Amino acid sequence: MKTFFKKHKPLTWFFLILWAIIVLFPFYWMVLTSLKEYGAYNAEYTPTFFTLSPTIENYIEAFTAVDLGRYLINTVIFTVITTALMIFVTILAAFAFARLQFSGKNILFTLFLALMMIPGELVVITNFQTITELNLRNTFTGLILPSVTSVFYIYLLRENFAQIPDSLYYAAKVDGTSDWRYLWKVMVPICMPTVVTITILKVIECWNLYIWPSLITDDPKYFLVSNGIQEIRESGFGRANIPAMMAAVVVISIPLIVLFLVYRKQIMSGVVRGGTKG
Amino acid sequence: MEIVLENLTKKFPGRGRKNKKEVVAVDDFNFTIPDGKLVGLLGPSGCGKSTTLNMISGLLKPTSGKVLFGDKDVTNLPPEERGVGMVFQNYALYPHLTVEENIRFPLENFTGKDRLSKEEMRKRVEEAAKLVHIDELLERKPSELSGGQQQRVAIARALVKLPKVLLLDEPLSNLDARLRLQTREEIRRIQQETGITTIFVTHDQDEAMSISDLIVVMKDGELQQIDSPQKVYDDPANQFVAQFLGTPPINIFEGTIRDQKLYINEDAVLEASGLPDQDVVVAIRPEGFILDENGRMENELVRPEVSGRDISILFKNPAFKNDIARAIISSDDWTHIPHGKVRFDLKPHKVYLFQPEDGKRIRVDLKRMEKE
Amino acid sequence: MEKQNLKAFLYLLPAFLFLAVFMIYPLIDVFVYSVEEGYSSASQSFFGVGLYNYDYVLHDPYFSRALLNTFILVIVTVPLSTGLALLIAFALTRIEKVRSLFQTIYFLPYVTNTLAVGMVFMVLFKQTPYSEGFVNMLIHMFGGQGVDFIEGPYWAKMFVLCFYTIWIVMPFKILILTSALASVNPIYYSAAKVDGTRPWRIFYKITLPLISPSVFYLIITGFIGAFKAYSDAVALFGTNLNSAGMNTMVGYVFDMLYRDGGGYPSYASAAAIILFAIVLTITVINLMVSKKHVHYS
Repeated sequence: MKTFFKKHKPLTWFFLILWAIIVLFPFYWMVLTSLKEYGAYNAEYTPTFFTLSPTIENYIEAFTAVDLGRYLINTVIFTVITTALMIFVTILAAFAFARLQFSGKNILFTLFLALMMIPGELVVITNFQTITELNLRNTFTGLILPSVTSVFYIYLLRENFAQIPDSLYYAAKVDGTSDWRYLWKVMVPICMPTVVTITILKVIECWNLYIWPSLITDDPKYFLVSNGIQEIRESGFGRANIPAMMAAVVVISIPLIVLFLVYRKQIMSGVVRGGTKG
Repeated sequence: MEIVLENLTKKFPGRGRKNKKEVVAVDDFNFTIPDGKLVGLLGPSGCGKSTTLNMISGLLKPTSGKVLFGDKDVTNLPPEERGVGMVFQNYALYPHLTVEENIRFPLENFTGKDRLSKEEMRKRVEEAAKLVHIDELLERKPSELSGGQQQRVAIARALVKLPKVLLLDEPLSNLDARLRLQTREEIRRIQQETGITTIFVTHDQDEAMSISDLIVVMKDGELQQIDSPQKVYDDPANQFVAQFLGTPPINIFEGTIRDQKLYINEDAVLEASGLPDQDVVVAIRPEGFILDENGRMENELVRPEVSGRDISILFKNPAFKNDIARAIISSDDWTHIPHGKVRFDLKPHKVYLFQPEDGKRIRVDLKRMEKE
Repeated sequence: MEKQNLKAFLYLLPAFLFLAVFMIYPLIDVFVYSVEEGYSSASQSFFGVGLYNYDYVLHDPYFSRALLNTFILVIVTVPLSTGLALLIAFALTRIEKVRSLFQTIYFLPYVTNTLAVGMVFMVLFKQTPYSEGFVNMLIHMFGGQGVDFIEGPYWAKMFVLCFYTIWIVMPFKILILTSALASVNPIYYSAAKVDGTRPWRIFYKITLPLISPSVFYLIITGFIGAFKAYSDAVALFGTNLNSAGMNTMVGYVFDMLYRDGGGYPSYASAAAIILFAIVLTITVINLMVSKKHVHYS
């Protein structure tokens, strides 16, 4: 196969460019459509590949006719709080497993790792019942709480913490540093790259979360972008206003694409170390 | 198989955005490796020795020049058509295959009329394994072997297709000190048993000296000297070769020729008849000193260093280029000397003169001075 | 070093509170729900214990449809996406210029919102009396017969679902395989070349075994991921997947729990447990196969 590509270099390029087009084309199409006038779009039986009269009216429509702004703010609030809580809880737990000595540590950690294999879909059913019974539907609390813990991220950070040499800890102890201070002043700064990676992966996950918010909220005041866009599609502008829908899609997609372009290296290496989609 | 390199040159395009200058890894090599010899390519890292080996194997194409195997020009042949066997620095054993599968791997590549039957392959693998004494290990995976055993497997894999030339890239660098001694004897034995022309690359002069028939000394892509190990040591072509070979290293002094005599720091130490007056670099092997209270070369004693068989005398001399020079004498010749001065006479055949500007050897017949 | 039991307990407390309430308890509870017959969310009561819920689910035509859809999705997308990713990752090793640009582009779908971009696919594949849509335009250009991929025949809907699923999972697979290929020590290729190994044999006998752990990792996670497909279907066909005939197993679970036909946590639990029994079985089979064929260094 290697020399197949070597001998057929043009074929390699053709193949790579073809896949790049397949990946990029939907993005092009959504931007293009979002810039077309409603009337002009509907008049096209055969779609055109460009527009000579781009308009931003669809974007205005997206923010005025439906609650897109609110969905975005909700998602930001949800993402920030969930990620912050997750990082705090994860750092504490990873520290205990990596640094502290306590009875039953190994058994506990093994059980803990076993939790990684539990699929989220299994526990959603009861969580839905729990949140409903606690009257937390349509609240941020109800959205956030079940999304906080991630066993995998605790594992990832613990592995990183465990690589810090013991001598650093003993040196800090000799100087009278408390565990708490050692954790935040030494371990966390040393493992900052991993913390950043975990943070970014969690942000991506939160931003794209669909199932849980779609179950737990039916009041559009608490919709996140995923179920928000679904709502827009099914009853927002009316099914026909596709340019406005595409404008909403563009607005929702941009934050993560920007985040990705800025943190490209961290995100890709983080995903290699153990991200899966969903 | 005799190997001839003719005007062999390899240039690499410059790395880095600013510096586009070409790097000349191998510069205009000409030499002949006689059939059936064990040859060491010796030089410091970055001297182009691995590049040379890879051009002989065919993994690299020379920028210009030719590689000949016997009378046949193989410059443009791919590696597999040259009939070479190669042992890589980290052995490159396929980790997912057993020892037996690793050794058999090259044989399975044969096609057409060269194709071997299962039975023949088994026989060849067995012979190769026996030759390197690993016939007990055929079922194991490389990860279950020690470094020395992996090395043997790599050699067996290189030999199994009966190559005309065997190439080894730093074959001993990944082994610990004891295994290194053992394995180099092993390489020597295998080479002599098979009689295959063998070229190995090393940066370790001991390795090259101990087993080679012929040493090729290289530096910065340039050939320095090709000779037998003893000759390279006794008759270095230039200052680099003199300094690169020998442990402890050779002592380098600044000297001058005046009135057909060699002076080190105002002491006339040897007769140098036939040489015009000039500044020279004087290189003296540690074993080139004779302890003598009336010796012609006066130095300041630092301290003696006893190591049983020999005694090193550490001394200072204003003409010595570094800090402390070292003379080695047999402990039988040792007499206690008081602090302060130590005097030596020199053995003429252990003293070499070089031109200060380019390190070229100044050939001259040095003699001990007449007793006054 | 002395034990720090109390301190460790305090550090672990937040994590364990969250895990206990939202993972461990629900995990046990889902089994309890699945055997409580006639459970009603409203009265929180039930009138029997048994396997009736499983029986009901297994005889529900919506469930059979979801099961079929999911199986087709798995069988089509897992081998196709893995094979395609292998091909692309290989092609990437053959070029040096703009490789990182390609890698960046190929990764984009990973960071997009499945629901949002799914809508773009819906627009691309949709055909209405007023607009033929992009894909149908292509089909017509090559003289084919147009079809509505979103509300048309089953095979067309299945095609677009598989296509979108592959589009979504490719970034992860390309990335993993690219880094696996990059970690193969090039000295093996030199060694093979000196021995005159033919290219196909190098690929089959050296490259593939050396990256086999990554390939099997992708196959295993690919199976698990495809069995859990849901949001991509919603993105394309809307929330009422049952009426579109395009529901998946996870979709069935959530519909039972909440949506139009919802309010049946017991049926949902039974369906979820059936789903994960299937996933577990297939994963175990995968692992057994991989033990045989994968070289772990």
